[in-house]
Amino acid sequence: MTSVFPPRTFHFLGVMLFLFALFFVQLRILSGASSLWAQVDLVTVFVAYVSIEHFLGGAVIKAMAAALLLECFSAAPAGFYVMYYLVVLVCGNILARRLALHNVLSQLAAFVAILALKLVLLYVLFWVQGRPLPLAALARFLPSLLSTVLCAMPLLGVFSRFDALFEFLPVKERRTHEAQA
Amino acid sequence: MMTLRRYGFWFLLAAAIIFPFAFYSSDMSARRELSMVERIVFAVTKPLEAVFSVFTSGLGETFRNYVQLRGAREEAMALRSENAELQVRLQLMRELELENGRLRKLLSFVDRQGLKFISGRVQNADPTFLFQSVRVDRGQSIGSMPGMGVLSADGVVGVVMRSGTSWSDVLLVTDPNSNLDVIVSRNRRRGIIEGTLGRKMRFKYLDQGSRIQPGDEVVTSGLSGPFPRGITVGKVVSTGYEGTAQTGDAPGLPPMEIEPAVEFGELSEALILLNLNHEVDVIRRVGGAEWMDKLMETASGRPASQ
Repeated sequence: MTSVFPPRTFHFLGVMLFLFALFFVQLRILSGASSLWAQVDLVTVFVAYVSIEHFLGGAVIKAMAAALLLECFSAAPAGFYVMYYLVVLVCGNILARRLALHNVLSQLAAFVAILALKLVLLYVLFWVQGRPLPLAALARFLPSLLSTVLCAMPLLGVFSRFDALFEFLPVKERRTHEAQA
Repeated sequence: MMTLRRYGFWFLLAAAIIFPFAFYSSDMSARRELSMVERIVFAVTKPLEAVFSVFTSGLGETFRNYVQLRGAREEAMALRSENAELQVRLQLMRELELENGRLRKLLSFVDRQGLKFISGRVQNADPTFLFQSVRVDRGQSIGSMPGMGVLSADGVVGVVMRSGTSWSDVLLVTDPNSNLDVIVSRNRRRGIIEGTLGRKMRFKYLDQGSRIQPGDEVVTSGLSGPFPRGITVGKVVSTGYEGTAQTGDAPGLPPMEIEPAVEFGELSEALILLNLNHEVDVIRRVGGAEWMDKLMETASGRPASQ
């Protein structure tokens, strides 16, 4: 795809604006949905994408910005989403190195693991507070998890198209180019 | 830069291992105020949010104002707001009638005309889908402060968790970090309810020997917290087994579920109860309004709310 904008700095700013747009869609439209199936966690899919495809430094900044945005507007305890996205960054990095994530099944499995991790951290949160949750309480979030996983596949395509506008090469391809050079 | 490239992943891995330990060993209750970093992020995103809101709400507003009947919507919203206030006052009056009907010997009379409400629109719900809060478009500029109760026409919504100049975050009663002092209308048994991860609540504590049955209405006790007595909280929908549940008999008794009276998914307007809490009202009556206002002004560093 022919580049439209100058690279790097504008790519970073463009991605941050894109993150804000995703966040506000999730805040204003999806959070008010009465159906649990409509609660698609766009921000977490975005963070998982940048943890796999973007360089570490930029990915950390974007993930922490996403975490701070969520914590500013929600009743989540301070640090919960910072912790979650740190772990997502680590897992995304490890998955990108070890798995062939271009296979649809592996991508699905990766996203199921990343989204289930949020529920695990939530369960540990209440367990540490002395209010252990019954596992049935977490089952309420399964429709949201499934719809997020299903929406993640096309969303990855949208994110990579957006990156391509800025002539951005994913980290794996850039490393391959550098190795060949 | 080379160090970051080579060892960046390991720094990140160390942070991802250490941070959870620090997080889980800290105070993890629902936060009352934004930290400095969060305030900066919020300030940076405010203009973007405003642009986004104008875009989405502008399209909606155009459709509503010009395709539908002009003016009818404003009138309906004003009437709805007025109706919500009247419904709450009606609930308070109903509770007073019940008290008088039972011929209570000791009446703790509270000047209910002293209650002040301000109505606000609910802007958005919690974006995490895990916790339960809403944001209302009224803030410190009209006197909203953390700890104030929030109601709707149907009953208790929650408590103000934190507030900015023109917004207030309300922790819903169905959030796991929410606790509310209540009584069961039928038998006046007192208890404390907490939210769950679902859309119901459960009794955290309940008077020993209480008999609760499905259909029992639960209302605020007025004994502690920001709510006066008698505001509808919800209805008992499950006692875990057939028939009546009684506390104190079976240690392994399943928790009793309470369905909230308010349909949070359809909540569009909320009333912020400006009287901070019952204990402050009592102190105000004993010490005098002037003394209390001066104390609040000194404590908060800003003029006391009216």
